[in-house]
Amino acid sequence: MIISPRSSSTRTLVVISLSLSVILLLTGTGVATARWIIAAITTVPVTAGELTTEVTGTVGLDALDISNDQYTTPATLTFYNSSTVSVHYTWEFSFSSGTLDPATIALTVWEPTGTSCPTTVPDTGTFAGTLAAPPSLPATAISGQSGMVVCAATRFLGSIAEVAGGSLTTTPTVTADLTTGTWTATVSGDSFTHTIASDPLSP
Amino acid sequence: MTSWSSHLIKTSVILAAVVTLAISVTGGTYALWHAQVSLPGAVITAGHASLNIDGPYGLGSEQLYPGQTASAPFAVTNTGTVPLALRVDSLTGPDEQAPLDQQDFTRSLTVHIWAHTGEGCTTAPSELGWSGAVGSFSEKLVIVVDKGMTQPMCLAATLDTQAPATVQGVSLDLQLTVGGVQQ
Repeated sequence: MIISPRSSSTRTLVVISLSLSVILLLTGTGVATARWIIAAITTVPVTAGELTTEVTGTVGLDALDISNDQYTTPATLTFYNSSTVSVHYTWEFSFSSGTLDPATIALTVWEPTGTSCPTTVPDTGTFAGTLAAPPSLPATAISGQSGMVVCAATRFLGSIAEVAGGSLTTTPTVTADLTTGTWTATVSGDSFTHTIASDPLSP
Repeated sequence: MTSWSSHLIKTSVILAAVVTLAISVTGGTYALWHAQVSLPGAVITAGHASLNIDGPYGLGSEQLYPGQTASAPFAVTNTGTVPLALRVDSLTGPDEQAPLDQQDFTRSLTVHIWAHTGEGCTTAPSELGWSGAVGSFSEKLVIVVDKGMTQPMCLAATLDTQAPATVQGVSLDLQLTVGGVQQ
């Protein structure tokens, strides 16, 4: 068969037209493009923890006739972390009544070797400060649901004669915090009072 | 008319004549056998896609602190008749009318979802899983659940290390929607 150039181009046109028709037909039907989609819902409860702490034993710092030559009998303070994560402790003091200068009352703290405090202040391993500028508490991180025992003793730093009969009532505030973030828990301990003996010669 | 067209017409006419002649000369009759039967009780049922989520259990009893992650298992069962590819359609929390502490808590959470590999849900979330903040949508999981099968899953929530202190003690419910796309 002799194929003229014109008949060849006509066949090409026919083939292209048929191809386009098939493509358009398949595209237009949209066959096999539909899919089922289903969904199910559930509730996810979430709860944030909360820092909580307790402090006991501060009332043991009550001191009648505090002297400037020896410490009071050490008191046993317990800081209990009732949260479920480790915390660090800091503290500060507020003063509700009395005339004594908080800066004249020395405060020394330390961790006992056992669970109770000795009867005297040890020579080493203590942290010293005053009620105006409290000493740091031991830096140990206290695990959740556990406590830390700290011994504390006070001593007057000024002249007894100048403040005879004076007193100062102090309330400790303890703060537990995490090593990161801004979460804290604050609790107040029992107040304690220091008194200076009255001058026996005063009228 | 071109010679090619003319040739084509001639060829077609000849072919038609040959076919007609062949049919004619075979003779005989053309009666066809015909029979009909009905199939009793034939029922055609369409398939369906269906998902069921069981859990997560115990997540609410775990308290989250900054930087901590609480996790719990749950299960997704394909109760339909086609395989389904899972995806996280949505994860939503309290709306804008909720108390601020709940909104703060929601913003401080990141949720992880992954296939349970038998290692327990306390292990690090799989890279093949999904992680996102509350409010995220339509993220694929690389998990396909065959029809009738149950896929054990893990869900974990992590509280940001800088979560504000106002969220302490806050509890709330998130709504997780898991989608299944027919495969």
